[in-house]
Amino acid sequence: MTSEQEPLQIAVEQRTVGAVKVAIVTPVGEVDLANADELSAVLGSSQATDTDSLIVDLRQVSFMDSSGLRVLLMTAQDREPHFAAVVGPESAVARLIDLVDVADRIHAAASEDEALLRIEAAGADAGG
Amino acid sequence: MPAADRRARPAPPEIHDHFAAIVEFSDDAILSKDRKGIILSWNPAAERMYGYSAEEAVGQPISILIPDHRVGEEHMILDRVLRGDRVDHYETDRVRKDGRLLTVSLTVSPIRDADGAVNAASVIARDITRRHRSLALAAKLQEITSELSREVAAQRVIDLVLQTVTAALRAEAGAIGLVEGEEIELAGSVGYSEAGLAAWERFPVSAEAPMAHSVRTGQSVWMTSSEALKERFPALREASVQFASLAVLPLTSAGSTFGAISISFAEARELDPEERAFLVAATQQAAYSIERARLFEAERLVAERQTLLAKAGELLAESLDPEAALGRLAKLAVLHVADWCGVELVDDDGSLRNVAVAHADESRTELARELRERYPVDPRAETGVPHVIRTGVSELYTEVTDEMLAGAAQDEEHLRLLRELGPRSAMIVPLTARGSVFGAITFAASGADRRYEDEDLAFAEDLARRAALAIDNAMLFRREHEAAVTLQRSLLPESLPPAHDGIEFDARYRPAAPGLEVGGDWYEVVVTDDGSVVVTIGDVAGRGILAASVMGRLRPALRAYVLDGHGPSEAVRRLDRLMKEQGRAEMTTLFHLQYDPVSGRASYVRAGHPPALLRLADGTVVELDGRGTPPLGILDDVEFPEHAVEVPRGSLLLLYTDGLIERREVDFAEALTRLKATFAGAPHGAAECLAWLERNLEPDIIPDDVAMLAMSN
Repeated sequence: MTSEQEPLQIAVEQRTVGAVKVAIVTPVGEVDLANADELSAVLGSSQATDTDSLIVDLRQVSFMDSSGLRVLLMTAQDREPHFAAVVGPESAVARLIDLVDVADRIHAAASEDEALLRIEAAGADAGG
Repeated sequence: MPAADRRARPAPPEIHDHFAAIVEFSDDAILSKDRKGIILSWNPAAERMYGYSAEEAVGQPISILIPDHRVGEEHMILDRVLRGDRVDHYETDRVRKDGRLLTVSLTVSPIRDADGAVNAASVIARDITRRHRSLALAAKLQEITSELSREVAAQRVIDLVLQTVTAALRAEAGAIGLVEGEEIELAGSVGYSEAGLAAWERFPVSAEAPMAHSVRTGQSVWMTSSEALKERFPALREASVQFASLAVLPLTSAGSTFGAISISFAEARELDPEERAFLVAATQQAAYSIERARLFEAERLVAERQTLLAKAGELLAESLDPEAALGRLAKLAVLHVADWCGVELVDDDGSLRNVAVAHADESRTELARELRERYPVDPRAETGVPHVIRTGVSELYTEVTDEMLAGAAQDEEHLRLLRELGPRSAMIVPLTARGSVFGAITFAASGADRRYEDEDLAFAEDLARRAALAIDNAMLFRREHEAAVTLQRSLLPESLPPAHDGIEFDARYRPAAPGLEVGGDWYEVVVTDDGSVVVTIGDVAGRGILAASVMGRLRPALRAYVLDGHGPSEAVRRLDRLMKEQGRAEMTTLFHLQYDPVSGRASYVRAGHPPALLRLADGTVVELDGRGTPPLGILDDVEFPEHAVEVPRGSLLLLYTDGLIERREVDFAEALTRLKATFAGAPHGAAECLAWLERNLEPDIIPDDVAMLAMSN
C-alpha cells in the first residue's frame, strides 16, 4: 500500500531566457502509478504548455516507475524538440532512464543550464 | 495584706447563701478536695457531668475521675495549687462513672484556712467534650475535603469517604449504594460481614429499606435502635440486623439523588448535633466528589473510546485483507472493551465462518478458538450471531446467566467450554454494508468489573459500522483483484511448448498479493515451423484489469507476427505500431529473443526492458544488455535494432519482468547483481532453475507480481 508514501509535490515556474519562455516543472517525491496522473495533469496545464520550452527537473524524484516514465515520454514527444529533463547523476531516475534507454528521447541533462542548452541546440537542429 | 483583710471581715451570712445558690445551679461542675485529693464537696452539675451522686463522690479520692493517662498531670496541678498558685482553663480528659471520656476545661484554685495556709482546692470544671469534638470533626471534614479533591477515581473516592467517615464517628460499618437504572448497587463498604452484605449487593430502588427510602425521598433516615428500624421498615423484620443504630443520608448532586451512604453503629446511639452536622457535610462532599469522579471517568472513557475508534480506523484502513484486519480489530477490542471478541462472516453459500477470535488473556485465546471451531455457530439459532445477521439488529446481554449458557450449549462438553470462558455480559453487533448484513462481531466480558449497558452497545455499533465500511471496501477490492488475477492468468499461455530437441521452457507468474494491484506482466513462447524458438516477456505500464486487458491484446498479435515469419525487429515494430494505432497511449516494455537451435545463434530486441541473463555451460553469466529502445506504444519514429548472441548448448536463459529488480527499496544495480549471483548457482533445466530462484532469492528481490521465463538447451 502507499499509505506511508509522501504526497507528490509539483512546483511549476515560468522563466524567460533570452527570447525563450521556459516552464520548469519540478516534481518532489515518488512518481508511480498512484500519482502519475497528477504529474501528467501539471505537464498538460497551461502553465506548462503556453511556453516555448518545457524542462522537467527530476532531481528531487526519489523513485519513478514505468507509469511515471510513460508520462514523461509522452510529454517529451509532444513537446519535441523543445523539451529536456534534468536528471541527477547516479539517481534512481537516472538508472531507470538508462535501463530503458530513453536518455535521448527526453534530452536528459545534468543541470538546468545544460537542459536549456540542449533545448536551444535541438531547436536549432529542428529549425535547420 | 488583702488576704488578711478578707479574714478580718467575715462575709455576711446572706452572701454565703448567694454563693451556695450559684454553686447549686451552676452548669459547671464545682467541687473541692483536700490536700490529699479527697473530694470534700460536689455540686449537682458535677453529678450530671461525672455521673456520681454527691453521696458517692464525697470522701472518694479525686482519682476516680482521672483516666490512667492523666494521673501524672493531676499531681502537677495539685502541687501548684498547694503552693498557692491557680490553674486556669486547663484542658484535659476526665472519665465518667460509666467509663465515657470527657474533655473538660479546669480552673483550680487554692482554699486557705484561717491562718492563710492552703488546706484545700476548689475545682470548677466545664464539659467541653462537644466543643472539642466539634472542632475535631471540623478538622476531619477539612481533611476529607482536601483528600477527596485529589481523587479522580470514583471507587477511590467511595472507599476514602467510607473509611474516614466511619473512623471519625467511631461507627462500626458503612456502605455507599449508587442508583443504576431501577436498582441500587452497592458501590463500596467497610465493616460489614460478607453474609450481611450478600443481600444488599443490588436491590430495587422500590425496596422498603433505609437506603432505598433515602434515594426515593431524598431524605435522611436516622435510627437509634434495631427495634425502631424494624418498626419503620417492616420488611426488615426477618432480616438479621447486625447493628443497633443507623444513619442513612442521600447522595445528591444538582438536585437529584443518585445514591445514599449508610453508617452503622454497634450500640444504640444518638448522634449529637455536631456529629450530624459533620455527617451531613461529609456526605455532601462525598456526593460532589463521587459525581465529579464519575464525570471524569465518563469523559476519560469517551476520550479512550474515541482514541480506540481512531486506532481501529487506521488499522482497518491499513489492510486490504479483511480477515487480517478483523483479527487485528478483535485484538484491539480485547485490549480495551472486551475480555473476549469473535467475528463471524457470512460466506457466499450462506454459512457462517469464524474469521477472528481474541481473548484478553492470551492463553485463553486458544480456548476461545477451540470453542468456535468445535462448536460453530448454528445458522438456524433463534438468538445470538445468526439472529443478529438475519435481522441486522444488535443484541445486548447485560447479564449472562448460567441458565443462558446451558440453553446455548449443544452438549456437556460445549457447556464446559462455555463455563470455562465464563462470559458474564455480552453484546453482538452486525456488520452491515450497502444494506446487507455480512457478519457480526461478538464482544464478551468475563470479569466482574465490566458489564455492558446501552452506551457500550452504542459504542460497539459505532465500531462495527466503521469496521463494516472498511471490510466492505477490502472485500470489493479483493473481488476486483481476484477478477484481475483470473483475467491475467487467462491471458497468459495455458501451457508452454513441450520440451523438444533438448530445449525446455518454464515460466512462473506470481500475482500480486491482495493489497497490491495486479500488474500487466506477460510472456509468450512460440516455436515456429522452421524450428526456431521465440521467447518474449513484457510488462504493461499500469495495473489492474486495464493493464491485464492490454497485454491480453499484445500476446496473440505478437504470436501472429512471429508465426508469419517476422524476425525480432520487424515483429516488435509491428507490435509497436499496433499499439499506437489503437490510440490508447498504453505502454509496454519488452524483451524479445529468437533462437535458432540449428545454428546456436539468437537475436534479440530490448525495448525499455531490463537485460535478460544468459548462463553459459562454463557458468559465466552474460547480461543481454545490447543497446535498447524506449518502451513500445507511445513514441513515434522508433527503430528496434536487433542484437546477436551465441547460445551454445548447455545454456540457461532467464527473462524476467522489472518487478524483479525495480523495487524502490533496493537499488537497481544491486538487485541485478544479486539476481545474477543467485542465477549463477542455479541448477540446469528451466523448471529447476525457476524453482531454485524462488527458493533462494531474498523476498525483497523477488516480490509478488513478477513473471519469469526460463529456457534451457
